[in-house]
Amino acid sequence: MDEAALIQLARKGDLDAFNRLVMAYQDMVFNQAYRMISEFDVAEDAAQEAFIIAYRKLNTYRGGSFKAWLLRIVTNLCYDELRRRKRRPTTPLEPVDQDDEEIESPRWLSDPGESPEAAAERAELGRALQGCLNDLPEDFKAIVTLVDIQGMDYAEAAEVIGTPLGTVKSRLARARMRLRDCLQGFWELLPPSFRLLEESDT
Amino acid sequence: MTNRISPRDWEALSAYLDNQLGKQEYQQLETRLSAEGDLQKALDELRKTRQLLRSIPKYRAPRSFALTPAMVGIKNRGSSQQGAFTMLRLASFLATFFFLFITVGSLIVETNQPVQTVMMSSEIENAREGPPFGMGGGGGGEPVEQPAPAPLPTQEAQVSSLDQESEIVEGGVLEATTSVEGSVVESPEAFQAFTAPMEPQTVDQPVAGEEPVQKANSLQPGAETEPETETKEPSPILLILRVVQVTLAILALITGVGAFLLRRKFL
Repeated sequence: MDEAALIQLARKGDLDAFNRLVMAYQDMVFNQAYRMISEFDVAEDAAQEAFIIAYRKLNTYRGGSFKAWLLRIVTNLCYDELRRRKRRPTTPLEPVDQDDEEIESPRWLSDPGESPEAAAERAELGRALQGCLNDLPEDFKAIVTLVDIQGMDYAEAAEVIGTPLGTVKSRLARARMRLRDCLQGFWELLPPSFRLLEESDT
Repeated sequence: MTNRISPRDWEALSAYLDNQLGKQEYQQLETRLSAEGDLQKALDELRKTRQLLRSIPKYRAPRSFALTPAMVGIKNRGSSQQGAFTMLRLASFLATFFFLFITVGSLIVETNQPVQTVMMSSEIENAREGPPFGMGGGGGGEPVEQPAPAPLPTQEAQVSSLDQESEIVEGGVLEATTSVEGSVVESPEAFQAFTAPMEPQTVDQPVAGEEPVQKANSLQPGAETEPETETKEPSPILLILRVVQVTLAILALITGVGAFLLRRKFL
């Protein structure tokens, strides 16, 4: 069954149909929340809340990209969470997942033949990248997450955050520029593929 | 060196990486990139940053975010629908059960009704025949002694012997019997008349005695059809059963369809 049919059924109260949409998009929604909030448990709650809101407000969905509509909901929830944190700042603990492992563990960059040193460097790069993302303003963080992590094009990103295309373009450029500055000290930690890319570019 | 690059240049470089520049802007930037090393270096750093961001792993959701009815506040609705489904299912079952019960019961009643009618008809036939006459036949042996009904002991016996004689003499059994049915023999002289060939006026002879008259009346064609017309009229119990039967059938149908539709929602 295609997405439009599932949405129609869900609008009529078919929770099973909606849950099929949840299954299709839950990874994307969770990743958006995690990259913006940077805390595993909070991101989990935000993702769940996003789907609950989406189900309740499904009648306000007026067509277009359902993916963008979902990401808009979760991004707005992340905005709310980040603003709440600003009002009541807390010292975040080292992010851990449900197995009490550090979130930016070497898993995502590791390869089987990797030495412990290389794995440690990758972990450090991952933490650095997430740290740089955390330092971005909310709007920059949202746009760079949507375009560079979620892989959306400018038009979809503009639909998600509700801004003109030109705003997306300028915010994305500034976000990337800031990240470039933030990552200056970590270039030597880049994996070999990045180094090869750098050499081929030069 | 790249610090001298303006924000507008950064924006153009970022859009260049994503192929979001117009044709003219694209060509202008290409020209500048080939001439300005700082701009090219800035582009390389931006490309690496972008590549790094795009290489970030995508986590799988730590658990299923599928919604339950309780999460979206439809617990009561679901439970009420579940209750309605159970009720409809039970009602449908009971209605079907009683419908079948009554259908079978009424069928049994209806099949017994003709038996009773047949039994009544056979009784009438027996009464018409009265006391058993000699079975006729060509033997012509001794007349069989049959117990006669109490009111007419002598007359019945006389008719019996008369019948046998009429067979012996010349009249057919049917003719003699017919004449006996239509009249009552009163005296010994009358026996002589019966031994003679049957005449039509014997049927019209006056009838003596009340009981034979009553018996004869009860054997008239009109009297014979009366019990049959009574059995053809449906009894009030059968009518009530029919109404209940139809009501139960409708109820079973409605509740069954309702339960089926609700079941499709749950499964």
